Amino acid sequence: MLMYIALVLTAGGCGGAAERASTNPYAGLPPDVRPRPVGPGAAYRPPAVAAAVGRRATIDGLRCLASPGRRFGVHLELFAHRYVVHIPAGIGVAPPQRSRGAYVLRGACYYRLRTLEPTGVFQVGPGRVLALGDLFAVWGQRLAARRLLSFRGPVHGFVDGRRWRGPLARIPLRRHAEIVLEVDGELPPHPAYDFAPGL
Amino acid sequence: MSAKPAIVLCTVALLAPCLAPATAGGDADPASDVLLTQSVFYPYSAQVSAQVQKTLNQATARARRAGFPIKVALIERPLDLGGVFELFGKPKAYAKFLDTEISFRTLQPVLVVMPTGLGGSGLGSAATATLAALPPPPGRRPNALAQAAITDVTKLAAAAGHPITAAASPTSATSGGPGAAPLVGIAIALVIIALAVVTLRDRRRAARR
Repeated sequence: MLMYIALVLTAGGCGGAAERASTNPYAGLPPDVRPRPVGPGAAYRPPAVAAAVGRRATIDGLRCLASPGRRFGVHLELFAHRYVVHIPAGIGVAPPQRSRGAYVLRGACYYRLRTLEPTGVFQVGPGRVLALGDLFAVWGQRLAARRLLSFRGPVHGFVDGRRWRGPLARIPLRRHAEIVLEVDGELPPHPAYDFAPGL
Repeated sequence: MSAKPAIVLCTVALLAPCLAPATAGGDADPASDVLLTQSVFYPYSAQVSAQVQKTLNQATARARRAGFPIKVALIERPLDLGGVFELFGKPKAYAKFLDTEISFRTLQPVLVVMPTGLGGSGLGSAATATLAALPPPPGRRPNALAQAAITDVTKLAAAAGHPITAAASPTSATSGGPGAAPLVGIAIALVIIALAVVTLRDRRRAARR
């Protein structure tokens, strides 16, 4: 028995620390700097345009404006079952949209919450402080304590790397907030995001 | 406790860390999202000139058609890495990171170009060896990174056994700012104006006499 345990320990179980140290490209970096792939299937690639946005309807008091105007940036990351959920470009931009590659250049009108690139960076227009519930309302997707888009399970929220204990829909969208939502499986959240100039 | 269950328990306990998913992280780098849709990620901080963009896009499109669907990330500054800015200056680590995020059970060739050097992943052994011998970009500006990528994509495709015709690498002078042709036109116009002024002056003097 003891010999068996010694054998497993000697073999290093899963490759040995020395080998891992020499091949791990992220050695010495913070634990949040690890890659995660986008999940399989359509559920991990939700559409951008909600039906209400397509109709240019007023959503929770937010109107579709002719010009995008001034804005600041908020970054959102979504994970389900430890896979990335892709956040598309064109959320909060009424069709017809004009795109170049992965980027949306313009649309018929713009809500105060919108994405022009598929990176999770939301542009937020000025006015009353909006919350994460407003963002999901404009997107037309579900957010609750046990529901994130089409995924079910306990949803955990993080703001700037810290666990959010209140209702997720009330997370305020403040300038340069880094918001992470995870359903079924906790990952080390990023504490910050480096925004492009002008945001 | 009999020996058999004890052995099973010990084995599970010892191997559990290996069976669990690798230390997790996140999706905070813009390039991984953009490269799901297009072949090149361009830096935020400054625009790569239209001509250089066109040439690089054509090079990656030719490589894809030749059977080498390479994705290129041009990373000029930390902000191009979003939430994983710690990887700035580490092109090899970021190439590996990016490859893990955008590969879907297939070999996805990735080239990362940073001012400090190049990184690659999923290139295959021959192209990886070629990459190791390629020089770092000739400058820190986005155009220099993109021009290096144009050359490198051609060389890597050839090394991987999918040669493409070399793209004519546009120079900075002709790739965004005014080129030589408008300057020649302005010079000719100035000469014509000067000749006209001199001719008019001579005629006035002749008329006074």
